[in-house]
Amino acid sequence: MSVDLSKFQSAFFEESAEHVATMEEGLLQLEQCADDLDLLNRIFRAAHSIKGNAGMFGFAAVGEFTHKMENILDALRTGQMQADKPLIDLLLEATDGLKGLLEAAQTNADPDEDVVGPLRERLLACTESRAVGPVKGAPSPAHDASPVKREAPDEMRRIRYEIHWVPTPAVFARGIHPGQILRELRDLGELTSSADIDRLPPLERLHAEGRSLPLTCTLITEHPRREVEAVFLFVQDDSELTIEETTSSEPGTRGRGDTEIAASPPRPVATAGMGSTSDGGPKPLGEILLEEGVISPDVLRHALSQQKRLGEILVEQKAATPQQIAQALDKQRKLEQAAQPKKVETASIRVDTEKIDKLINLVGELVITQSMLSDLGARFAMDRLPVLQERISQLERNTREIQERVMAVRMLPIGTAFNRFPRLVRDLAARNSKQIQLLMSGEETELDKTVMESIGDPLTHLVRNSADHGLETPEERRAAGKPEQGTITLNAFHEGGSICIAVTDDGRGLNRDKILAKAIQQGLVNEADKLSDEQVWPLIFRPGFSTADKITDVSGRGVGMDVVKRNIEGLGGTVTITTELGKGTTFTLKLPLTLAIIEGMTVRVGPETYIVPLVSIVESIQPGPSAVKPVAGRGEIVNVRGAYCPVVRLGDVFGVQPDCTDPTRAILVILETEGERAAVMVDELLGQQQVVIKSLEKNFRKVDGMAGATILGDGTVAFILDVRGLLEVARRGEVVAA
Amino acid sequence: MATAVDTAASEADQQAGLSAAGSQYLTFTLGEEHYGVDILRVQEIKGYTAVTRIPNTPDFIKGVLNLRGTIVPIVDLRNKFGMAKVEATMFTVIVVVVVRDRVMGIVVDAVSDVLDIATKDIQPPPNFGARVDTGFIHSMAKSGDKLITLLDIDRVLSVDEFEQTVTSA
Repeated sequence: MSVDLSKFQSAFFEESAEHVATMEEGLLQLEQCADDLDLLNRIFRAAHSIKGNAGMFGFAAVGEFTHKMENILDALRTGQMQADKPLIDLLLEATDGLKGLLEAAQTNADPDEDVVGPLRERLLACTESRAVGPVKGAPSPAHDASPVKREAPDEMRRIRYEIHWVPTPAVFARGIHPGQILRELRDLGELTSSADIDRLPPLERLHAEGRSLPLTCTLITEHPRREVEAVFLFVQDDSELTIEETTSSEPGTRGRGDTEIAASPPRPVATAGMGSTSDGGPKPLGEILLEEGVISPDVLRHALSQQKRLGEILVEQKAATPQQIAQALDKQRKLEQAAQPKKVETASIRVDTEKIDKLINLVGELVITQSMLSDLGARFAMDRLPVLQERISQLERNTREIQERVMAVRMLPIGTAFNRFPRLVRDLAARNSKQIQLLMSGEETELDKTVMESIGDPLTHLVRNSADHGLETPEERRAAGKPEQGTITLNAFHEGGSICIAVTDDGRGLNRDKILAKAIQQGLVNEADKLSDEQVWPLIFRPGFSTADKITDVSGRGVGMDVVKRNIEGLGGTVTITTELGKGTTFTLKLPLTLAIIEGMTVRVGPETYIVPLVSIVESIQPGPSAVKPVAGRGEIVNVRGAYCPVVRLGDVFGVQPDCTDPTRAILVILETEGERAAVMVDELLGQQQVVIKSLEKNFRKVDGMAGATILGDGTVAFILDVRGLLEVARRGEVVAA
Repeated sequence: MATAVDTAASEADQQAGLSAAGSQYLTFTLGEEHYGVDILRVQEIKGYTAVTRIPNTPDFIKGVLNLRGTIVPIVDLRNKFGMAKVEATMFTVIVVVVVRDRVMGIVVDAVSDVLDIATKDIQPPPNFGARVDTGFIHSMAKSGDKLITLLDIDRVLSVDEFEQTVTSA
């Protein structure tokens, strides 16, 4: 029997990512309270789970690396080491290394040995050299049971343990196989185990989930007691368990019971998991010969390389023509390509089961409504029209509610996006020699997954900007009469139909004069211009605009604030700045709750219907006779209350014959994007409505000037305009008739 | 259709070491010509409905269609093959096919039949010389007195070709 583990691998990577996040978060907290045993246990359990699962799935490198981390964590847990800053630094770096290893495992790539190798060395060096005596006050349950010293490999003492374990049904209910526990024990040393079948109820009263077999094991091992206990970490609460130490180092006598369950020589821990996954099947001949030392790996490889390919043999035997073979190979390759997942990145969501339950209830209601309707339809008479109307409104209600619920499934608490910041701020503070405290609130505020993925980078940039440029050095702060420790606050909250995320620092604030001077120097504004604060602050979003005197390696180089603004606007959001010199700055991001649905204005040009995103629309006007003027015979501009903006004839851009060619008879929709305005000429405004965005790229490709498509009430497809792209197309001046 | 003949044909296929699968073709007409596509690539056949035209695309892309919530591009096969334009009739249908992992539709004059074509009846495409692009012709088959051009649907609806039009647009 073989189990296809690949199906579960994505779950493994997802879970591991969560465990790594738990570890990172825990380690950061550990810095504040180094003795928190609960915290240490939580970190340890996360590492232990990764190790165990990695073994099960055959990711030996991940398992082995985590094992090294686990050793240190365990030493911390038992108080043999103290969680000081260098150690936490090392462990944090190791979690980064672990992330790298997991990524490599996921993409089947080779891990970056330049990073992982030294880390592995350091972890090992740490366990060997940093072993200190037990720290006073730190509880060490294992300590009184077995005399603990960091045993060097050569002076290991073999201890014999008598283990009595009665797993309860609860253990099975959690899907833990006792065999797995026994295998883990076996990895520690020589194991003899037996089951006491006398205590089994007679067959007719035997229940699969009932009380289980008491197991008696004898383990002879060099490993300390706590490692033996660690095996039972996940089952001890649900089991009767005693572990007794008998000092004899003689090989244990056979178990008392009748049925021997497992007795095999110990195997190295690192490969244990791999071995246990490939159960049953006969081994390839080469592998057996290799194991028995008959041949060396090189010999085997050479021999294998001399094997002829099936295709060559078939051609030689004239069973197939080379063409047929080539075709078959081609087919095989195509099948392989088809079988390969498109993206390695997992695009799954973990959803609260409550949300799913509600959804299922609603679908149930929908089915009932549907059957009532079809029943009505089968025997319809005019006098039942009111019933029909009532049923239809019920259907509407159901549909609306299901839509809302389905949207809710995609909503995740924003805390998942915030998680990365404690680590980031810690690193930034260290690098800039600043003291920074990070406060977060509103983590439970829910946000659509796609929006969440897209705001990560802009948010990171803003936090970096605050830490780097916003906050002063401790000396400067002291001189300004502020506490040496600066504060960055992340706050998320709902406002209307949007979500707001505010990044606030209590640093030096934006310097109006400095920004203005820089803007004048770069020719962005005129010296004579009288700009309001609201006009000055957004200048920092201009590409290449940096008021930082020096460029640090963290921010100020490469991507700038312009990228933040562009990304946020790309999501249909806005960024606002409030700042006060010497007091601090707040960047507020305002984003739509979801990207799947937008508020749009339906417009008509000739026979075609388009959707204009409402966020881009400033106003719609019908220009007076003298408002539109030709420019240089190539374009037109319109005077909108004193400001001129270019006219884009939508019909011309998309090659559609419009009803109105005279601007004074048409409608001009004034659009604004990234500070740029244009008047888009359409025949008619049809109305405002929410539209569901459908991807064009999925089956086709990106179309210039289109953000996507949607389906109108009559089932036809209408395109949603991408305002930015549209203006670019218009500027290129190509008249593109399809 | 004579099942006995079919079974005999597929048995012959199996004897030749080829599987019987993939030898079923959906055939359709464009004018007087008969074409066929591998039945396994056909997702569904849909009556012709008006499509939404896409600006900035080549002529042979008629537009997009709402297929139960999915936006599906529609290719006019007549146009693609350089044949004369005709008005849609009540026989005009859209054959929805899967190309790589994309769903696309092709407009054809009429679907005719699903045919089992024995491997022995399939021949490589003739050489028309440089004047006719035969890249998308997989092979030729005869069924009764009809000659059917079996299409390599991946090449007919080449995704690359769609992409190329972006740069040239």
